[in-house]
Amino acid sequence: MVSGVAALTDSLRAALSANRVVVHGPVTPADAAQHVVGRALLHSPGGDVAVSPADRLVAELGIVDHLKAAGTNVLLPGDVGWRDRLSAAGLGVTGCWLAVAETGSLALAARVGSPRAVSLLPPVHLCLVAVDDIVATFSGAIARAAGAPLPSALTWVGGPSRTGDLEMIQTFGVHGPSTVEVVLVA
Amino acid sequence: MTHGIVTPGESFAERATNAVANPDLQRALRNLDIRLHTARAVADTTPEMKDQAAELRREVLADLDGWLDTLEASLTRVGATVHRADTPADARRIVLDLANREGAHTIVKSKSMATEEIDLGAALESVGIEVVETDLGEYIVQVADERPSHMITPAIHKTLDQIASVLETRADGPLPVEREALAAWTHDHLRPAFLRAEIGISGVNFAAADTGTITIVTNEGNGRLCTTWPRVHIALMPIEKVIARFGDLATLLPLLTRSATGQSLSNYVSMLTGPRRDDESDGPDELHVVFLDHNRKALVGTAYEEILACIRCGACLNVCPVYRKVSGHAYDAVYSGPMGKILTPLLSLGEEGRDLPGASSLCGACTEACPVEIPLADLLVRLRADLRAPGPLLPLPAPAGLTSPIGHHRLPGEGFAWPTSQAPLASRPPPRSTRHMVFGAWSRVWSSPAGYRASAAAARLGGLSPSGWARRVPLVKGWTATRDLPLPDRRSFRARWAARESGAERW
Repeated sequence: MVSGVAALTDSLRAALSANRVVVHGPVTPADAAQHVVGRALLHSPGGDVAVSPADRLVAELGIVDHLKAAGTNVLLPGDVGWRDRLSAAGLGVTGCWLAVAETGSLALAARVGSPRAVSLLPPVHLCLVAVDDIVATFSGAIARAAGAPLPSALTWVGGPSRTGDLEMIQTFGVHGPSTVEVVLVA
Repeated sequence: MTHGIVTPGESFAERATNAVANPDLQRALRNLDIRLHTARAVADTTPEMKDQAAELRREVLADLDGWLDTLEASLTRVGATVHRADTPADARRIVLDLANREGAHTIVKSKSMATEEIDLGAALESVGIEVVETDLGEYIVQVADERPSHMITPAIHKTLDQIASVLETRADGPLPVEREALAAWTHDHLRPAFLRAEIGISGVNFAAADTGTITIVTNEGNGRLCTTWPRVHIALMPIEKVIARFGDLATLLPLLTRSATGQSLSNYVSMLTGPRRDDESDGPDELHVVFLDHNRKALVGTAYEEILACIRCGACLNVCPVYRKVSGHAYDAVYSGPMGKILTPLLSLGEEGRDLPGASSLCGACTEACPVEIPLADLLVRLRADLRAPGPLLPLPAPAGLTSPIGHHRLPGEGFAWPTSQAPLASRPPPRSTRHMVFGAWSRVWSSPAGYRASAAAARLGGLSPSGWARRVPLVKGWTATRDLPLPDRRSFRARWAARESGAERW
């Protein structure tokens, strides 16, 4: 089992890359916020950028303010027409509860201000991961989850949507996001 | 499309013969070989993982009723509604009532073998509801008006050309025979159905009794959409899907995904504990969980109880030499392959699939592959014996020693045992059947080098006769009619080996 933040980070990066996730960082919080703005302008030029404002890093890094300052249309849960607009948004930005180095999984916990669909309906999902939130193994993550009240939905995301139904050859981009990006925050 | 657990008609032997003769099917099935070898290299299971998982499954089966009561209490506590269905008809009625109450026009479904088992789609469509299968493989077979041929990859029997042709019937114009393009088209084509559906229906991979958490694994994201966006989520759960503790997912979930697809974890795992909570922006307002019995409880405490440990990974299909050659439709049953050959006659109490347990070489590859250590080959042998008597199959309480290795099995009245014991055959009871005489003679001939050489020479003479010679062997016709032996090489292995050793031929 891997331990130590640096080793866990390397291990997570390798597993995520194997899952076809684009990994950036680790970077400082300030650089992470600027990176998110850059990706928003790239993936949703002139369109909505859906954000889960209650996710810890999203809040701590002031992602919503940074995006607004850069002139993007930020789509927040509770906004008028959120449900209708979400599917048309070019990017969904979330944090995560924790990330699993062993499997390259991002664990997303649903709650008020952290809806399930921000990481699901837009074609690109960008996830902020604090390096302190990386756990070594899936069983370790399950033990952590079992120790606290469970959210209505605890979703584990491996990478972009994929299927094996076309001659059993892995093909990306079916119903969920076809691109998943992770920003590691030191 | 035909409905119910099994479609009537030809025998397995006839369907298998047709399957083997179908070049498109055989071409599509080659992907199974490729996938199996590459996937296994990525993430295999360990004996320790299997032992642990097998133990967890048996713990639940030892008190299935008790764990179901605990699960129901937990689900209720977290705000879900539990419905209990004794029969497929009960389950269909429960879902139809919910759909009526909801005034549903469109229902999106994620892949669920249980919904196939109760033929739910047809029941909903018969009252005018649009039912959209959203797993790509399931959507392909739905549009083609077929049924899934594999529990993990439902359209494995189709080549890419065929898939493009099928999907094209729902497209505005021609579709390219190109995987990424077909996936992208599916995204655009099915997204509106997710957005307009009033109800999402899913199966359940595991339901944790202690927390009331239902877990669903998918790779495409359709399972997440079905359980997130519609106002009502209905999860159909065969009762054996219950697990004792949420923490058991640490063992069972990676084992399922490794055995199914070679993934250390599937791309999406949804662990759902109740419906949306106050002020959450999405998730269903209502979560209904339908417990489906369908003769499963009748198996508890019988020799066949072990089949309820199955986690539907499909590993036994992937390694089965019969499945890999004939594919799922030859079984003419919802559940195909080794576990299907056992489950189909059992769930129907012998009304359906009576010839399926015979569709096996008893090579034991399924038993070895099973991640929860179900003695599949043992159960097949036992089921063959029990189905010899006409009439309904009424499983009896398990006798001692059920799970002994297959080599120790002796069928009642058949006088034929697998020759695994160290004792010489001569010391065994005298032969009583034709089959025994044939095997006895074979064994005696092959017990001496001279006999082996003579028989091999005779077999090569047989090689002069046309293909299909084995089907005409007298005395054991019932056994050989559906079997064949490849024609032997004209020269013996020993002769070829000698030629190469001496340098007369190149290696």
